[in-house]
Amino acid sequence: MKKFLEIFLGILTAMGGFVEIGELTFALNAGAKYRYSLLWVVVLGTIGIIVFGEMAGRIAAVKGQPVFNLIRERAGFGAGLVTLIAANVVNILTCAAEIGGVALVWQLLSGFPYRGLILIALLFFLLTVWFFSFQAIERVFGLLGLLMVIFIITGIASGPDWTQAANGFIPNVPALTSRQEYFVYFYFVVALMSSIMLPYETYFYASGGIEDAWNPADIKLNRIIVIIGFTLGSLLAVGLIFVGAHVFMPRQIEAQLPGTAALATASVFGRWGLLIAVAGMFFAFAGAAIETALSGAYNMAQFCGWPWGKYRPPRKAARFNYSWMIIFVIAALIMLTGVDPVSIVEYSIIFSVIILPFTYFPVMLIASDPTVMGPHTNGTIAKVLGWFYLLVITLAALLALPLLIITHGGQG
Amino acid sequence: MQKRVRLWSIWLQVAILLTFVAATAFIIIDVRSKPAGKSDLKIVVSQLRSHAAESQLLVEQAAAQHLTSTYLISHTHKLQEMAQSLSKQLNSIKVDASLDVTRTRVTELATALNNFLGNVPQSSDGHSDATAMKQSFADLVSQLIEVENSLKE
Repeated sequence: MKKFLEIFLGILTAMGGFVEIGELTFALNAGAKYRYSLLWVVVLGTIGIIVFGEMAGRIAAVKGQPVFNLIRERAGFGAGLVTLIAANVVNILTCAAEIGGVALVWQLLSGFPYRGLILIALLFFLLTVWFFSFQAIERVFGLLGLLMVIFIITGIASGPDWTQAANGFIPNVPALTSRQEYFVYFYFVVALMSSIMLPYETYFYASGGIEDAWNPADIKLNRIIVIIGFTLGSLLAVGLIFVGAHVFMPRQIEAQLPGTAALATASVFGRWGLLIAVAGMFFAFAGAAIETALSGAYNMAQFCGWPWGKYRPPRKAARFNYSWMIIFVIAALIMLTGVDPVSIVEYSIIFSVIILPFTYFPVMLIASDPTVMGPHTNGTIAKVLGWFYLLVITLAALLALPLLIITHGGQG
Repeated sequence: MQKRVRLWSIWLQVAILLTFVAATAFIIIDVRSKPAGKSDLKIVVSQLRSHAAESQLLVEQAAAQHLTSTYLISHTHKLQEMAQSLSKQLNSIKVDASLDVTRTRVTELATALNNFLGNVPQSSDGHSDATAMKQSFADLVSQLIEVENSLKE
């Protein structure tokens, strides 16, 4: 019974923690611009995050080593340091965007000034991470992030064309009128896939496995949570694409604010729909802000060999604790400059594509190494999928920056 | 195996750098072949069109009593801020003389959007006002779509 509850909670947590402000924006706009044509990217990205999340979790369970230990061990100090810097820049930018998102959501409920709310959000995050245990953080924000299910219900209630939607799950390129429009479509392909496969999710997931003291007996638990949790989580992305396609596309609206997303649920379910969406976005963004700040601190500590983990008393992991605090402060300072959170997250998502191969290649190598993993080494399916996805993310990494520039950040 | 990883990392970094250089060259050539500021102007117009369409939806939902008053005021204010920021952006875009008329028209439409948004919180209480406001936003959307289409190649 206890094991069943653990699996159940793990699945719900993985599902609830799947969406953050970047994925919300890209998925809504993917639907608003291309109707169902980008649904296949959700499938592609979800299988990718399942493949590498499962490997990272399995390594954590067998070897007790998180992702950044492996990157330094396998890629060497120089390449490891470049990856660390890039990964933490992306973590800080994503954390900044999520803090901005939380402030925007609070503003919709309170009407208080935005900058003041950023400072309150900073205090809220510092106190939450300081006082709550890792398990409490994971459960509270993951489970309450499930309020985002309102977007799946809205997507279905607004009447999808199921035949066309089913066709969208098959890789396709719609007929567009100009070369520039094709570039924008491929920009959305890369960005949407990246928003689903964000590297911080893997850093956090593997480090979380160690925080939860996983051992080889937990490999099955890891597999079930990753496969079912992430698949259910991807339904949120599908729901958001449906909402974009049914509510925003006919009206030619492109979502640039969290409040726009809530307007869609209000149009179907009235005031309750609005409030549930706003609450869901708060827990989803807040969960992502905490995950990115902790991921940044995990990365630093693991790379530098410092003691780390929320399970340790703060004095015994002082540098780890300072790291996440500093990340929150830098992220809040970025938002205090008045920069738009959605613009920031768009850039952080595109830059995170570039570090995806550097993150996942060492994970793939370790998980395939029988001298390290023993009987838990990658099987044929994991190997084939792993190499296929390395090819896909390398291609995406090469295209990300040119597409960002050519399409003016996806605006045409 | 570690040697292979390092070699792979170096190759990937070089490939990303080369792609970046190639993309930059492509953009410079592409930009030179287009009238100055046309794409920037089109982006601003499409953002204004999206904000105007969103404002129309906002007024509809307010009239249907689907929104809280704090949400309505806050979100309207955010949309107004974005419209004002786009107006400023319009002034800084350098365009060819042939696009000056278009820019003036877009600036007028941006000002109109800003003004309409300024009236939203008051008008949403009365149904007849909301209907008139909805129509104003719908007209604005149509005009912005017209300008957007004229800027397409």
